[in-house]
Amino acid sequence: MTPPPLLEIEDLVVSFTTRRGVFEAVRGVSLHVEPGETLGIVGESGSGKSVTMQAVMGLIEAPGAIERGAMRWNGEPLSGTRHGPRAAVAGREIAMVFQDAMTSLNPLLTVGVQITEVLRRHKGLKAAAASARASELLRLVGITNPEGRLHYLPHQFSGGMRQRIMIAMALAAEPALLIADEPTTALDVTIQAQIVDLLAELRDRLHLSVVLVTHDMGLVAELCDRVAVMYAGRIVETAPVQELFAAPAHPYTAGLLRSMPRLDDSAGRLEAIEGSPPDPSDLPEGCAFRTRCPRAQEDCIHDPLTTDLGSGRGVACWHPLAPPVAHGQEARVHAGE
Amino acid sequence: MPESEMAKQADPAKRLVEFTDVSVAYDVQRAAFWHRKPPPFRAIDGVSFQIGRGETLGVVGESGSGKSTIGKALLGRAPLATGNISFDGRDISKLSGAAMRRLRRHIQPVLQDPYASLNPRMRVADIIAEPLLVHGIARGKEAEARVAQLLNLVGLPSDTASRHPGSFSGGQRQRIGIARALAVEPDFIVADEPVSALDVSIRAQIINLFRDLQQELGVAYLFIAHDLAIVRHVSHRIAVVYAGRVAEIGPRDAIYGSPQHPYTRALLDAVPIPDPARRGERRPTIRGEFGRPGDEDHGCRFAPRCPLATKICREAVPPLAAKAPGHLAACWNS
Repeated sequence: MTPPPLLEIEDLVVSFTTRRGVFEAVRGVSLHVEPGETLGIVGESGSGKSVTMQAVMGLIEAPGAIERGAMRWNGEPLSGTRHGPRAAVAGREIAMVFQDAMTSLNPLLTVGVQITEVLRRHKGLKAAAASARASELLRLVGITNPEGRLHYLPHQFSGGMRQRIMIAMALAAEPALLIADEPTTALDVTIQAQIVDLLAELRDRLHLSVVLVTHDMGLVAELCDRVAVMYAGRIVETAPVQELFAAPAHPYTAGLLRSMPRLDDSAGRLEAIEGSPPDPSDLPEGCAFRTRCPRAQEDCIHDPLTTDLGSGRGVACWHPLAPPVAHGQEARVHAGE
Repeated sequence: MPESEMAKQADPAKRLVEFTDVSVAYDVQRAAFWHRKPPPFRAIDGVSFQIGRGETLGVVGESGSGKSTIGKALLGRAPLATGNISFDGRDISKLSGAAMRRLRRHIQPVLQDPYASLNPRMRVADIIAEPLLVHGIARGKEAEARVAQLLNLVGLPSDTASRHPGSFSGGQRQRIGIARALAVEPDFIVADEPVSALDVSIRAQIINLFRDLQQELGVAYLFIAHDLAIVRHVSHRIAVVYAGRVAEIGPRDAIYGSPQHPYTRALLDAVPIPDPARRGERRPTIRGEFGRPGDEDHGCRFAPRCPLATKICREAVPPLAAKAPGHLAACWNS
């Protein structure tokens, strides 16, 4: 029997109640993360990518609620309330790094106090041991003179350093899975690259599984093994990263890849996706992408089912792009490029 | 001499904007009343460049580099400490209030955050027509017709006019902001990170819109961004700024094809390669973070992070010197 995935989400539905009514931010998401794997969840704002991961972490708060769905950790249910699993697994075995470190750190406490708190709560360390371990963690994330820096307040660090501290805190409880939600978006370009390199290095050194939530296909290409593309609360395509970039099956994925400004093509017009992402409280009937889709036909008014394309690929589309070639052929396509 | 080299780039007759040794300084508060007053902070320091009619200069730099200050200086919203800025042959720092107001018509801003820059209580028609009224260009029916024309120009349906900005997505709001900037038929638009707040699928639309409008209307842009991938598709020339100074400036293809300044190279290296088959090819990133300690001001401000830095880099400010026709870099080692 194959071992269960590290994390498994099945048919997750998360709704939010607003003055305009109840709308679903996540509309039936199923995904899994294998041990040692880096999964990219790609989507634009409002696609539900962050909300899905917040549900895993038990961070859905009113007016949000988990309507439906199962979440399992190593095959065991992540039991909890309507707002998500209890903090037993989330926080200890699953840790999360957010986009904006300044709002996630307490501005009034030194970083040493904040890191040792995690160590005392989750690892049961005493003050001296916790303090020694905290400096070790800061050194691990590339902060020089860690013993001295433990006494600094968050604002005494630059944005890049704060993000390193957030990563150190997330690693304090020695999690098996690290969820990084847009970890570099708020940073300057050269600092983004530093944090990406740090995440890749830590993942390999500590054998972490990672879920990278991002809108940046470039980051996905650099870090991920497998990708789930989200649009309007659903996963529209899943694929191993090489296959996704070489032959996207969903028209939205293809559009995202084509519309990216890049350094290595001619600097002409960009191929844009027309229209705007739909309002989550007012989605088109059937496929939510159909109003922007160049391949849309009449039957797209019906909800597309997810088709299994084999070799770990799936697409939720009535008219996917040219069916991906078999695995061996694909390998040759790459070699020829 | 940098100035003479710069002069070769733009035909003087077509030259629209000229920065000559421009510095912008802001007063710094003393830490406590018994402390000595710190020297003013130079957000930009000795910046020179030109922009021709119908041309786009992309300005790239990290936060704190002074890239937005360059735009503010051109809009007359930053205090000049040295140098002068000329627009269409007139020195804007010497203009009287009334003349400055007339000039403002020709230089319009497009801002980063389309959520914060549009008044939520105004109808879109009134937002776009406001500059027409302020500058006494059109009113009533005439203004209404102009609004309809502008909405069409930026690709918005005509029923947009009677709605409020709250009901639009980020991309549509940015189109409204662009329509407003274009209302008075400016010669020049200062666009400060106009696509940074937008979703990925929308960015390309707005970048294309900037390109199309330039072709149609001949308007020139100062296009500010923090990322070299974004400006590539809109710029004719690109200036890379670091710590308030121009590190490198040149034609687009020269900047991407043969970058001369190590900082430009670092910015190019930092962009992820969107191709998993080429994973690991990105060169290692430069270390450290941008900082501006005052006592390092004798030398190159990039020297503390620069992999090529030598003794002279810490002792003398490198001049912005020509490396190829129209391609200048401020580096002792390039």
